[in-house]
Amino acid sequence: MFKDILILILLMGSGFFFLVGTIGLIRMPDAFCRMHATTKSDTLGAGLALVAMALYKGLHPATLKLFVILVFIWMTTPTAAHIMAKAAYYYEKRQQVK
Amino acid sequence: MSHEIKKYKGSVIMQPTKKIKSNHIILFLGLFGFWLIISSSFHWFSLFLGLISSALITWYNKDFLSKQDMAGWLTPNKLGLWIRCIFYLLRDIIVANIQVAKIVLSPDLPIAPEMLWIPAKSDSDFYKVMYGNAITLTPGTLTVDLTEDQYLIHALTHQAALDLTNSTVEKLLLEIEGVAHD
Repeated sequence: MFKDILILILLMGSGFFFLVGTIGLIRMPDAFCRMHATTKSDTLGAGLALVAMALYKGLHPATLKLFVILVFIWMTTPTAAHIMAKAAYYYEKRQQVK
Repeated sequence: MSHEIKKYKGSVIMQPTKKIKSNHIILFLGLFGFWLIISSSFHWFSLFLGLISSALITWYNKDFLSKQDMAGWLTPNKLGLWIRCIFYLLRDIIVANIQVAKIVLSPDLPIAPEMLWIPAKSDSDFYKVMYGNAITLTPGTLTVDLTEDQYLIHALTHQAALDLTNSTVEKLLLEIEGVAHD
């Protein structure tokens, strides 16, 4: 019962941060600020969802897999954000030169 | 440093030292552990396939691995530092996520974006990648570009930019690498 409530709270937190990310994507003025909203909220959103799933499964091989997914997301999201930001930065720079 | 540079008939060759071997072992064990988690089966054929593919990947990357000095980062006595580092990173992520949520949800959108250069305090590639990713994971700041010794950072607010100058994660990463800093 207590576990179910904890899982519910975690999933709602996850949903909240995904929602904030999406609202940020719409509201922010330029490419960089949009990236702040989406990449960051998604790291915590996905993290909370995966922790909730791990709690639901308990000690199980699937929990280890969820942990691997979590590490993978937290390594790849910043890398993808970095390369997109770099592309946006150099595109803007080139527009200014022209 | 895991390489000795030897002059040989006028040309500089990189002489691998004993440390290099451990890179291959770390990658092999990492890959095999990953295989065990994903396949979650201990049937002999599954284990055999895992061993073969891990060995092949390690062999395929042997030249790349010889150039890296990862081994100094993953020694057992640094485990405590890594755990502290991950703990502080998690705390930063949660605290700053709430800040970003507040900014996004407030009606007047109080942002003051700015670009700034901050110095990288170590030469090692591994440190630069780890800290660059840590900056991006911490909401409010985003690594845009990385040169030899500087990061180009995009900060959402001025406060986020100020927070970067005394980041605990950076200090811990430097401590793990064993670089003295002031």
